[in-house]
Amino acid sequence: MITRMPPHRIAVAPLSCGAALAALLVAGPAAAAAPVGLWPCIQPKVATLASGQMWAGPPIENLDWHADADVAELVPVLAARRTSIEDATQHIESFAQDAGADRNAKLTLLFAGTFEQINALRSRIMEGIERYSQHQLDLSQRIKQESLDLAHKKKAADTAADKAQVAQLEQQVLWDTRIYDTRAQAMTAVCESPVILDQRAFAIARAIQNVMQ
Amino acid sequence: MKRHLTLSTGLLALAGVLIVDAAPAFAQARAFVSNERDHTMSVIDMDTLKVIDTIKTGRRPRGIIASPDGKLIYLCASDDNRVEVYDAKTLKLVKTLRSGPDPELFVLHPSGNPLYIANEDDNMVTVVNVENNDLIAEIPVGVEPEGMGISPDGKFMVNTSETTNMAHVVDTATNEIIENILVDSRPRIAEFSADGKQLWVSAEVGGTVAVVDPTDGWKIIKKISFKIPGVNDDAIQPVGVRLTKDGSKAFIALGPANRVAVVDAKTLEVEKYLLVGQRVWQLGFTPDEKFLISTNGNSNDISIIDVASEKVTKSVPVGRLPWGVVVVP
Repeated sequence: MITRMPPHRIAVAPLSCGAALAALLVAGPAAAAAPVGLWPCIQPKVATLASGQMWAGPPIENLDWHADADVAELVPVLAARRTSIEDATQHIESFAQDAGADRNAKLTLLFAGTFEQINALRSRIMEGIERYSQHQLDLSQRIKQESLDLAHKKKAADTAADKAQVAQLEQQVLWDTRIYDTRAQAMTAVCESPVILDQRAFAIARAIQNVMQ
Repeated sequence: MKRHLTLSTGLLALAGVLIVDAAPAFAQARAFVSNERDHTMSVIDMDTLKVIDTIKTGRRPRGIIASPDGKLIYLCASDDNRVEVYDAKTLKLVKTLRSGPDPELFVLHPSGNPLYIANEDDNMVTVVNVENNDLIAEIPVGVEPEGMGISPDGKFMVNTSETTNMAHVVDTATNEIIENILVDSRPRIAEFSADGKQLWVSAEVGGTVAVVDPTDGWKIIKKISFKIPGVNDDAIQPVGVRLTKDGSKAFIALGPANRVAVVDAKTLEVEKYLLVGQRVWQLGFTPDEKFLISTNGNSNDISIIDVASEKVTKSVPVGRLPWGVVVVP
């Protein structure tokens, strides 16, 4: 037997809708003042990584990791995307073995440095994504203008010279649209790059914590 | 196994030996993990903590549960709009069940039948007879139904609706909503304690877990909130909730905070935070409750938590975007 319950059963529902609306109104002025976001990705924009999301060791704030020569040498290797996580893990294990009595302190410095570098690279990439997004907006604006011009000139074209100009303009619109489409298709991959860095920072943090005593 | 059984008709003694030999391979607890992005299910041997098989499933597998006897695995294939039922031993697809559109999470009646399925796109809970695939009822609930819990006596089913921010309590005898509990933003999971005296509801965006007393008009006793040094508050997004059978501890998966909170279920105070993997989503105990498994969507692995020592002992890589987990004996 099929029983379909009448929708009015959830009589309390309007209450929560009202609450949500109230929250929206309260948030209104602040939201209106914020600049129009350029962030084009499905993934929420998280401006910087928080160390606590991957690190349960000693605090890393205000540590001068540059001062330790061994750490300063290994940090760029671990941060570089060309170093595989397997290789990075081996580097970390050898580093831990050679660290001696200061093992945990040195490993903490190593994390502090790698985290700082990955975070900085990630910030640059995120700025780049917004520039990419801005270029797309500019390009779409240009395509719109070119299309309007084209329609206008096509109508008015009488002479052979006019018609040649229309053909040229048509080519321009075609090319710009193609560039726009190609870039739009690449957006998914572009948006994945901060995620890949999040994963890298986490994997390195985990590898370092695994060898702490 | 099938071959062994065929042999047994003619060579009873020999088959007996073979079956005994084969038995240990099936004696260990196994974890089943749905991998949302790979459209697969990873099977992990809980003794060796190795992935022993990866099974291709329907598209976008999410919710995953087991029958009370542990013999069947039920899986929501969200983008194929169906529930798939697998044999937990042979790992073969046994049958598919109707689910209504976009099934995400579901819960079985403690007796093993029927199955209550949340339809995220349709604002409904679909009730299906798992024996004959009959549609028993469609219960309208709030917008974007998600979490599904059932009281240990089977009398109450609770569904959370992500957008309406409510937990809807349904009387399973009539399939009618008897109570709506307003909780914080985007409730994800509803989980009863084993004695049925508490209902825990996680709110992902609200960042809290509401503990409700079903015996006292479904009132909220406490909203538990979380604070982790070095982690921004907006990254603390409670999703999966599991309680130990003895009612002493609760474990809460905190999403992109990458931690599982350990809560004293008596005092309702947070005791500690365990660093697991990235975007920790759902949790599942082994049947003996010695271990708790977390699915970590962004690091594509599961973490094994030793329940007694409250320590993360290992991470095991699985498929991409691991979502749910269930362990059978």
